[in-house]
Amino acid sequence: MSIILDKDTKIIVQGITGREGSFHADLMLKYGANVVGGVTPGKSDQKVHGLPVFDTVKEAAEATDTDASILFVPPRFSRDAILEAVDAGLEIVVTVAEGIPFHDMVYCREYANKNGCTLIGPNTPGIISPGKSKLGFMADSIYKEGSVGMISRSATLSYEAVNNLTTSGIGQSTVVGIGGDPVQGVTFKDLLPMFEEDPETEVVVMIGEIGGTDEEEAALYVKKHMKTPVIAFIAGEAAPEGKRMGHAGAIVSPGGEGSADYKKEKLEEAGIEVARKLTDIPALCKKYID
Amino acid sequence: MKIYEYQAKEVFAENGIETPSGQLALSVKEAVEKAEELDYKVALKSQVHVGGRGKAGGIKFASTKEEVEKMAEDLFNMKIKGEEVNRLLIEEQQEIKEEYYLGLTLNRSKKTDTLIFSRSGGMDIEEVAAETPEKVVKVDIDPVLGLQNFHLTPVAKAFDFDKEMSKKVAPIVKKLYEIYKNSDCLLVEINPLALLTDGSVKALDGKLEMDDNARYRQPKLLTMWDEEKEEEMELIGRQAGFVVIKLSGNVSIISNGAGLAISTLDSLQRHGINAANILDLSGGATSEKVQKAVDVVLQDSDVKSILFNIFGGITRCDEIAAGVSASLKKVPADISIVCRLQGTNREEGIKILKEAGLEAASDLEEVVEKVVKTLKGGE
Repeated sequence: MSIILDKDTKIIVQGITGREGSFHADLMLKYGANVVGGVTPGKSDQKVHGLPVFDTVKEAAEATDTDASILFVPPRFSRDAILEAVDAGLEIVVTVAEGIPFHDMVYCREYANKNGCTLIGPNTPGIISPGKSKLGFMADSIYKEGSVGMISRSATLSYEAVNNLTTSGIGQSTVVGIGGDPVQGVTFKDLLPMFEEDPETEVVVMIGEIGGTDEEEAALYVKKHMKTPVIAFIAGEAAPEGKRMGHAGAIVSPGGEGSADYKKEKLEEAGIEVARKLTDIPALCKKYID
Repeated sequence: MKIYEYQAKEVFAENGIETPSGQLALSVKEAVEKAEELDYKVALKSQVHVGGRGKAGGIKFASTKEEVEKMAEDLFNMKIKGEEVNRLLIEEQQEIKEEYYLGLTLNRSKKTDTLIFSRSGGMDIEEVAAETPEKVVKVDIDPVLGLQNFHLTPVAKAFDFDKEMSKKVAPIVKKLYEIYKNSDCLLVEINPLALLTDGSVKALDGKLEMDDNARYRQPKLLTMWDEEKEEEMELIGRQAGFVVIKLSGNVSIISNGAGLAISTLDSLQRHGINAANILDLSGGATSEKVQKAVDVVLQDSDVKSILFNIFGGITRCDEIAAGVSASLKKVPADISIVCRLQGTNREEGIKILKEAGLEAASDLEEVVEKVVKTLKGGE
């Protein structure tokens, strides 16, 4: 098992005729993902990697009975592309773009919520269920099938953590990049219940960072509802107040709200072990894995 | 991106929110000229991006020519939290009956828009919310629905607005919401929004912060951007196409992701070392892009060491190594370079670095220890 994504999940790629879209559609296919087509308006006369290209998501959905879409679409066109996918009734939409205007995401998030769509991103490498499927652009060679579920705001830190796990012989059930923006689709507390339900996931690793309150809310959820053990890591203890640290969402407010120390305190209060270094994660996970 | 009060007020006025009449002055002489038109009964307001201007003495009230002259001179010589005062807003004084706070921003926890209204106008809203939360009303607004009349009911109720007052406030809230949406604001606030003795309601101060991601569709606001107020290194980075964060130490961290860079900073700090800056290469950087990045960080005179921390996914370690190798001749002898390469094409990258006389570290702790050794060894 895994969450959200498995080998049967039917996937379309929005922006499949573009350089990135075409390149990663190919890599997803090679990984074994069930990619069934793509969408680029005005290019329905083309085929990419043997896959049909449609003008609209609706046409693609009707022809292929797809469940999920991944968007390789530039930030300024992302709002329309996300809304189109949600409107077509897709259950899973992943948007990887970095730099989508904030008001566009506030709107898209709410529209996706109202329509029961699992929106992942933006500013994320996507989601992977190792050995089954990937809906993203992560370098899949570092992943290994197994029982650690992972949720991360940062792409590169999830690569680090996964690499540490895999080289220690520990595999992953599903790894979800929720993205580094202040407003994103699903966040920790939306995914934790899915991991709790997943019989294969034995332990969940949350990789958070400074800014916002997502980790604190996740801590409350874990304390109240989770039987599956949860481990956390928080980046940004050295970040000064008031500076946006690369990710749009990674900012400690003047006054200290959203600081790493505060988040760690709340996580520990909820009984969650917080790894000091990313290299400590495998040892912490081993405690809970048969 | 922040703009000045006088610019925010221009945006307000264009959208039909009343503001006091006033003009900008760039010198003492100009301040006196502009004040003359208002018979010298003016407020002199320093225009800065930092908060807490009032408490720092950045606003003065004059009633004679001599006072205007003296106060303008004082203000132009002032620094507010380190920020120089180069512009004054010379504004007609107002007779205030009541002051309120009105703002629109993101509710980060619920990730939705939120309207904030407070009785304690003129004060810092975070302080008011922390000390007297009963004086603050927050109303979340569903972005799909947009601002509706019913959203204002809790505000009118909390502040005992009569029908007449509600009629004056409602259009202002609606216009501010339009500005918030149409101008891509992260934050827009009127503080204070004042009921004057003549019965009118005006925006006496304004703040507007625009979303950097929306620069491409806000050409008009972009003309209001004061480049000089931006940190020099961050501006140089932006012009070269990178996000650069200026910090107070002496190591430059170049990495292929924000999370990795932040973690590197954490690790350095545990060894008592701070970064001079952070530069994010993003995914898929080519050798040319790496060289450009080195050019950027070398312009920071605080830099004593450049630390590359790369975990390649889309980014290929051989491209990074080729860029580092090609940059070596530009790097002065007193600046050290250390690299950590992991991920895609790591072996090829390590080989390229070796040919250039550099040893690559394989993990974060190792590369950080190398920097510590270089810097502390040189003391």
